[in-house]
Amino acid sequence: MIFFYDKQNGHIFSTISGRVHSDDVLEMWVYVSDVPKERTGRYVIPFTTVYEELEEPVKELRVVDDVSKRVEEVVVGLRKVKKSKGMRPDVSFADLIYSFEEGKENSHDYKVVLKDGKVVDIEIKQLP
Amino acid sequence: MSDYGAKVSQAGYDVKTAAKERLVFSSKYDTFKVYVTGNGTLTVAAAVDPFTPRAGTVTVAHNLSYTPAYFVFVDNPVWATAGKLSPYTFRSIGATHNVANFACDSTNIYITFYNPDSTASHDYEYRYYIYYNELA
Repeated sequence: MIFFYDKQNGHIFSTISGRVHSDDVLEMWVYVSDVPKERTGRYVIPFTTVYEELEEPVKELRVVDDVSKRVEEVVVGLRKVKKSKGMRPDVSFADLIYSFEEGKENSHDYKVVLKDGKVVDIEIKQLP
Repeated sequence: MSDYGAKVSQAGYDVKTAAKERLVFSSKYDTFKVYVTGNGTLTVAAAVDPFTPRAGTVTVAHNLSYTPAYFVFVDNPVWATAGKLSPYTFRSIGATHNVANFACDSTNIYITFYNPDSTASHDYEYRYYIYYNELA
């Protein structure tokens, strides 16, 4: 997800959908006629992969009957495996990003909060 | 090697014999491949008078080196309920310029709205889809 906003008031006016973007998309810009280009800001929401550690049975084929030599898969132990639980926004306002993704909230009702030129938060726009 | 590839048929049809109209996917045919989708809201100031609209343009710099196939969906908050997006431009009626126009070149997509309402500004919503497929 990429926001384009007005640096003067932080208002988000356009959004690119998605969590992972190609290099070409990361170089994209969106401009609107009432915000000069030099006043247009772009913020790429950082997403990170969340992992969980699970215990998985280790299975081997063993002869379970010496007479018939029947072979079965048996659990011989447990091993820890790291599995992805998907991605989450790596920001303090992650819940809001989920709301934007699910269409529960409209990102264009919000503005970015800038500190030293960097986006530190997102909050609802003040109505005029 | 002419008989190779992958295909998926609709439920209930044998993929080996299904006509192309019954396929959900076939690597034999080209498809639209989505490059990027996005949306936004553009506020266009109130018109000077009903015949002298104000205009606003969204410019999407797509960063492809060719003119891509694209779709734009917009709403018409002046003459319809806001938030209902349609995949077509709307045009003037008589001399009242309530218009949305789309255009694309090898650098940008241009989405232009004209507000004919002299009593209020309006927020125009848009959603665009840009495809890897070349338009020209």
